[in-house]
Amino acid sequence: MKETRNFSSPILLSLLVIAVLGFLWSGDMTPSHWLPEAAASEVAAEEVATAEGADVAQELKLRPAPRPAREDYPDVGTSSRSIVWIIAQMHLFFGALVLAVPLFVLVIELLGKSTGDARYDDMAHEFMKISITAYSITALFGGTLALALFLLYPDLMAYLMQAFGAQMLVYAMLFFMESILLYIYYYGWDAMRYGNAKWVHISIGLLLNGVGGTLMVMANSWATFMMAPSGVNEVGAVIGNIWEVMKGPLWNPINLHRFIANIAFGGAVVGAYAAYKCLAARTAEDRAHYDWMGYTSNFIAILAFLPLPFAGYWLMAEIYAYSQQMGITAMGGILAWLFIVQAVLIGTILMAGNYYLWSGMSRTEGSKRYQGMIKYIAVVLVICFLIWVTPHTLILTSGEIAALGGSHHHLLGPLGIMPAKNIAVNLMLIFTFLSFQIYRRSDKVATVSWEKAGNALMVAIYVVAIVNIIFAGVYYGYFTNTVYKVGASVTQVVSTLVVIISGVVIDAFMYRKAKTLPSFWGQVSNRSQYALFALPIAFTWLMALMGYVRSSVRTHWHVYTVMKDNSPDNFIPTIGYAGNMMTIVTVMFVLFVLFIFWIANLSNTKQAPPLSVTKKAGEAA
Amino acid sequence: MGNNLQVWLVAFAVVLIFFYGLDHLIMNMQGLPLNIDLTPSQ
Amino acid sequence: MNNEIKAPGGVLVKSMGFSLALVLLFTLVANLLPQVEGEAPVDQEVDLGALTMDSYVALGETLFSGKGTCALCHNDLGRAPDILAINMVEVAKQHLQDERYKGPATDVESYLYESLVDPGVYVVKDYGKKGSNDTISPMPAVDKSPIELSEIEINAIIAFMQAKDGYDVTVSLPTEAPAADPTSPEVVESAGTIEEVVAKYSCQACHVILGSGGDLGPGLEQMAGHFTREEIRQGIIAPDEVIAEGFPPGVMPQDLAEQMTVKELDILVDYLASHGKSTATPPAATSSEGAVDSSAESMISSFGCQACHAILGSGGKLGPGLDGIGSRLNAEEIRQSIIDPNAVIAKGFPSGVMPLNYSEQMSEEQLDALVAFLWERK
Repeated sequence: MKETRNFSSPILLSLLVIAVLGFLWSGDMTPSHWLPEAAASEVAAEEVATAEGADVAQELKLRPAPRPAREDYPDVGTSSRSIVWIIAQMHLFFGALVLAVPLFVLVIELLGKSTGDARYDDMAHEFMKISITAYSITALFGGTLALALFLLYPDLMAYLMQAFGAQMLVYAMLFFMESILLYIYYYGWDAMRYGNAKWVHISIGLLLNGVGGTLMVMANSWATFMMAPSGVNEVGAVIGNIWEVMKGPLWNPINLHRFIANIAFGGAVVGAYAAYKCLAARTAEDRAHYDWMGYTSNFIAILAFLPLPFAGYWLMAEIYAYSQQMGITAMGGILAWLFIVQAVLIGTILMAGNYYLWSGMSRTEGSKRYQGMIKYIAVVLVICFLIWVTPHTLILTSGEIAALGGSHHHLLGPLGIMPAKNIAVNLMLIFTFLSFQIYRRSDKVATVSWEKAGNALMVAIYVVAIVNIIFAGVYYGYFTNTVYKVGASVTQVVSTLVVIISGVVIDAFMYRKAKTLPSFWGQVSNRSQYALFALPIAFTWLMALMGYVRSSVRTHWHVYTVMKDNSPDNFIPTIGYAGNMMTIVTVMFVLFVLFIFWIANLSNTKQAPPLSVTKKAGEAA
Repeated sequence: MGNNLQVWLVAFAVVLIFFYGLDHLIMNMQGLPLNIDLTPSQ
Repeated sequence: MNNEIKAPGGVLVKSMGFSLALVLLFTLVANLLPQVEGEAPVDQEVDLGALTMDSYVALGETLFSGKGTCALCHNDLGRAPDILAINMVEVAKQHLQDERYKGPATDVESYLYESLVDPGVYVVKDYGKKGSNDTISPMPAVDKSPIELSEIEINAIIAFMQAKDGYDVTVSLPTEAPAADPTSPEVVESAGTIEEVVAKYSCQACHVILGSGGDLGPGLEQMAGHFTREEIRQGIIAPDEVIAEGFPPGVMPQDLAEQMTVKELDILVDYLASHGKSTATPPAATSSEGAVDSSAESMISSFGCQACHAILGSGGKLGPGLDGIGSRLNAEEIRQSIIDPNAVIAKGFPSGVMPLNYSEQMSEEQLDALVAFLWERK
């Protein structure tokens, strides 16, 4: 059994992590409020005598956040930030994949159980195969990340240990549980395939996702604590309990955003696997299978992707509410240019997703009815995309203004500001959903009596929603005050959601007993499969980019407002530098994913026994 | 099934009213009331 | 059926080539955009000896777009008043005249100072936090995290705002040595004796200790018999954890532990833990006996106002002085400041210190008399 090798590394690693955390926890990093009083005052008194002087230990029981000087950061000869950047990003990529895949695998498994279609079950099993190798790699990078952080940023980590304390041990325990459940879920698939055993298996899947989700929100709380600390006082001394420390203002927005994004990301990555297998298929049967698998993955990715901007909107709104300064740093300050790159990436994703749907319509005859719409959708998407990437005004410091030769970009025009972009983004989402909807309709003929009325309603919703979005953007955006402008963007977002939700609902009823036209899986152009490569590449790069923005809004703070970053890397690098880092992590990720795909294939490959063995066997018989 | 035009008109009318109400609702929820012609009332 | 069969190697090369090309495209976009580094603010060493008013104003201008991060919002995009475009001295005068202005500032300089360290006192119309109806300012206090301007830097910005429109700068050049590091909290002189500690933290405002004090909190002369050192310590650090019978919770400041130095706390605990067997007399209950006394002078002593406020020629400095309060606040504001002290906090004083339950302790009649008395201090 080749695959059993996978067992050892994550479990050993999680033990290692527990050991490391336990060691650090028991050491001098213990927050003084866990020590007996006398010992605590000793700790405080020592500190007065030593390092930082009286101000550190002014409070007896409450230890403020450390204030490391530049020389307190270990110098390893190269940028510590870059090292942590790469390792953390790799860990997050694989973590996202490992968390997301079991989620939709479970849904597919349930689908297979309820329809009795074995294809679903096989596909779900195959998806898990990818996840299982990815899990080892996640664990490897997670352990490396923890070590790198403790080595390179000891004061920050000491402080985080102080704030989160025992929660980190719980995290390690859950990690251990996740390993066990994951292996049972994957390796027990065939053993628990039918009857009641299947329900046991599904329950394990549920548990696996529960533990995985808990792990994610716990890890998220570390990141959101650094952005918007809670449960601490002005100087960073921990005054709240662990729940108050975790439950900062940005925690839930990040939880939701990451949850959705993980699904989109996971769908995209397994889609690339299917595309690769589809292109490399040697039989028509294989090609059909992987075409279908690719389609399903793309379906998952795009479906999860559509609500993502809304989660992002919530997150940004909470960031603004927490600190207007932080919000502006992200959206209007030095980081604002990154949103141009973001537009390029999301544009790529939407174009690739749409292109894939349009190409896929060749699988069925019924698509002829809708073919004519495609070119219009394409035109709208391109126009909206161009509006979206038009740079807008930036707020700059004097040095930045000098570097740019003016505070306004020369392309600044009415198209460069937010209302225009809001219109563009919402229309892109609506038209992508339209592509999606006509794709879903292309192999069906409705038989309900109210088909005409239903279609009229659907068309009316599209038209009125689009008019409403343009009206809200143009009127409130350009002719009223700022408050209404911002308020109107919510109206736009809700209009888009109305289209998506009503589209799903109307079609669900209208095509309930629809006549299905034959579809031919595999009957799709090779070029369309490349859209399935473009998707994960853009997603990966996008994740790296947005993670960087999220992390960078803290500017020169480790923990915003309470612990300053005095390391040599406490500046915000240029976009080019950041972009190169993102490319490095993306390429690394792709290489590791290739390795995973290769491993997944390897387990299916059987070497033909050499002649001598066959002979011996023959003689023995 | 009534005549075609009627179906379309009714569909558009319903959706228009729905979105009109939606705009009022959403803006009101944010403390930004609108006049009857959708102009800001503040 | 489209059934081209390819060598897997070919597919690998092609798909990898495609992916790499796409990644490089994104990299290209990132490298085509303006390349700007965002430096972390560096605390500038201000050479006070060589400082002229011109260089002080110039420092203010640098801070305005740099460390102060003012230009992030105060620009021509409508997020906040465009300070560079408007005449701040005139605007300040107008705001001081505005009937909505309730703060204590009296001249342009103090108004500008107040608007920097306590932006919520007066919110310019249409610039309040969304939904707050211009009662809450979205601006952070510049002397706090994450901006953390020092006193000298704040004054430099005021100087800049005055000078940019050609007005005389009223802030004086900093002369005395400033606190070495503007980011560290002000260095507190540690009190050395029990008397100093008690005076510094105005314990006697509420507690009987060292032979005198108020009756808002339990007397502190009998601690040793009843409490261990740890419990005493706990009672100072987290006063609401254990409340003596008959006394209201939430009155004692919660942040004493933050304000005290280790040494001070030790002195206090040592003293309290060793003074129990002495025969200090319990405090005479002044306000509970006999008819309600509503002469303002006696109220001021019985409610312990002078523990924190200077009035009638004596009193502490923990809260703002009350002589002349009538010229700063109207009667309604005085009343509010007594019954809900945290609603408006005078500039430079901490919030959350003054007891919140005076309205329960006083009769309506007493409150009226006190307000009237204070209002007449002009």
